[in-house]
Amino acid sequence: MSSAVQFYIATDLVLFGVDLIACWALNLQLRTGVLNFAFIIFQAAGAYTAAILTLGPSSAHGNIQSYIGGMTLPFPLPWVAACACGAAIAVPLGLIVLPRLRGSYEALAFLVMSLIATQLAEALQGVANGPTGLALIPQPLAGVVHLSPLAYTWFYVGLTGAVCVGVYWFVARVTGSPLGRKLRAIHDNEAAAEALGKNVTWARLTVFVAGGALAALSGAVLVGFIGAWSPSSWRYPETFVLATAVIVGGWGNNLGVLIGTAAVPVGFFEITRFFPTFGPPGFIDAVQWMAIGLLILLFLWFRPDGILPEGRHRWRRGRPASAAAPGAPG
Amino acid sequence: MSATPTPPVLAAHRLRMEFGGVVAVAEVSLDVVRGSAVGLIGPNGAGKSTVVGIIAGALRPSAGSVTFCGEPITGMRPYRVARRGLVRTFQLSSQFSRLTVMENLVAGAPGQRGETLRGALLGPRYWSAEERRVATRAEALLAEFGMEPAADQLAGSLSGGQRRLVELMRALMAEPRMLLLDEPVAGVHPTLVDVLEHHLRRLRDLGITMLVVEHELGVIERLCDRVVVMGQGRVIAEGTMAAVRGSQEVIDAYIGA
Repeated sequence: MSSAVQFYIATDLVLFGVDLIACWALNLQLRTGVLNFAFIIFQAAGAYTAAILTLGPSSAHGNIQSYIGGMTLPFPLPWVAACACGAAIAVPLGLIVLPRLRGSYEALAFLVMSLIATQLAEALQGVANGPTGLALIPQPLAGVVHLSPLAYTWFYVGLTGAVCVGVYWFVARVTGSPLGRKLRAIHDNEAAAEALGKNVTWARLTVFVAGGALAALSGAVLVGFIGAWSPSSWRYPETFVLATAVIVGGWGNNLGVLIGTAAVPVGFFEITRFFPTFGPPGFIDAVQWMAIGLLILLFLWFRPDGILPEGRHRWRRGRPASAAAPGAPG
Repeated sequence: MSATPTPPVLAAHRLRMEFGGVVAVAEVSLDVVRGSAVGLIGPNGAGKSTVVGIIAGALRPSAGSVTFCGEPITGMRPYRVARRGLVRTFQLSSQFSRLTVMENLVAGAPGQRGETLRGALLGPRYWSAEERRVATRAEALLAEFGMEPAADQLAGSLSGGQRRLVELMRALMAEPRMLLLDEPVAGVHPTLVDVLEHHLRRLRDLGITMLVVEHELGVIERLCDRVVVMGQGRVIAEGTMAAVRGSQEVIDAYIGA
């Protein structure tokens, strides 16, 4: 295989992994009925955190970009810090929205937060270099493993894959546990869950914070790979690409989400990036967005449970179904 | 009456509820003694469901207080009220539709260790023993209510009456000290009303305290020792069903005079 083709495949695998982490995280929230339309700002927060904690002080690059802080922490500390940052900003944002707002109001509030965050990031020049964003972000462990660019790309595929395995473990543990059942119950009927002694607000906040941490992790993995990050990378429609993946794949099913991720963000966006362009400028881009919109409509209309719907949680006598098959649709 | 009157399990004292300028509940006081079944009846719009909402913590009253087992619970969040053992059901059936019947029941069990994020991440080794205990209780309830064949069905696919049974069983899974039943037989096919009534009477005979809002007065008469009649946000009569039936005020309230 030529190295160009290998680059192409390896790059897509990394981007697939990043989207997969993000989609699993988003689905953790959507399955509980938390309509986090600000999802992408958590990915952004993670990316910025990881970037700033690997870039070092601005003076190290001749002060060509301005940002707050700046450290050179060894891997994997920037990724850990990214997770912590995602969780930390989820707490106040969650507390503003989750106790009181539901449904379209909740979605709208999050959407507005996403817009505000983009505006802030562009306006505050000194925080993360404003609209230009950060560049020259060092790649994790590049100075340790000393690989050729192609070999490093494959190395990064492995790194991303390892994170994906960890994140899958996390979401599978949650969805396959009594907690997962409680979250599904809350999504079904919040008042009834509350009347059974479940602290609904706390549960919603829990998935919001956990999902925020995982979203930030996806951002850290992404920025370590592409080496640059700016407000144009995380505008609010990006959340809908991920949400489409979840809906197409099947929001009740972790493996469905995997299929949806392969089909939507990777199939539509990442891979077509490498296609030769045709038509007037911006044509492919516009068609992609139209296709995304159409996909959501078609699936919500004809197959609302997605390609791989939620499995029935059958009970085996004396043995909970969820425990009998931990990896099973759940 | 016994010489030393037992303190009521539930006592609502001078509850008042205004929504904007509308007075839904003007003044309602009622007591429920341990082991008794009290009916709360009255015409539509009398404020019965509002009273249930206040007691269960879903609504914060404009004035008045609620005590449960001697402790104030006024305005307490619904999940806290439930954790104290006062478990309600809803006027509209509120099963978890996308969960199976068995899952509905198991989800009703309070304070499960696998329901926290930490517990979930620690894995089945940490929570499966408790899960089995809960499941055993759920299976016993399913058998008692004759619902075993439906265990693996999605609750959303059941008939109205079966949904009511699921809701009742789920409330029992929550280890209630008292049940607050908001129209338990509403919208249920007549043949299944008898089944539900049979189970409610069985629970009463087991000594479970309950406050029942219901329009089906026959059910109330056979189930409850005492009824409280509400009209236009007030208690207009109280006593046995036979006694309140003769009250002119009750007749007027029902026929809208």
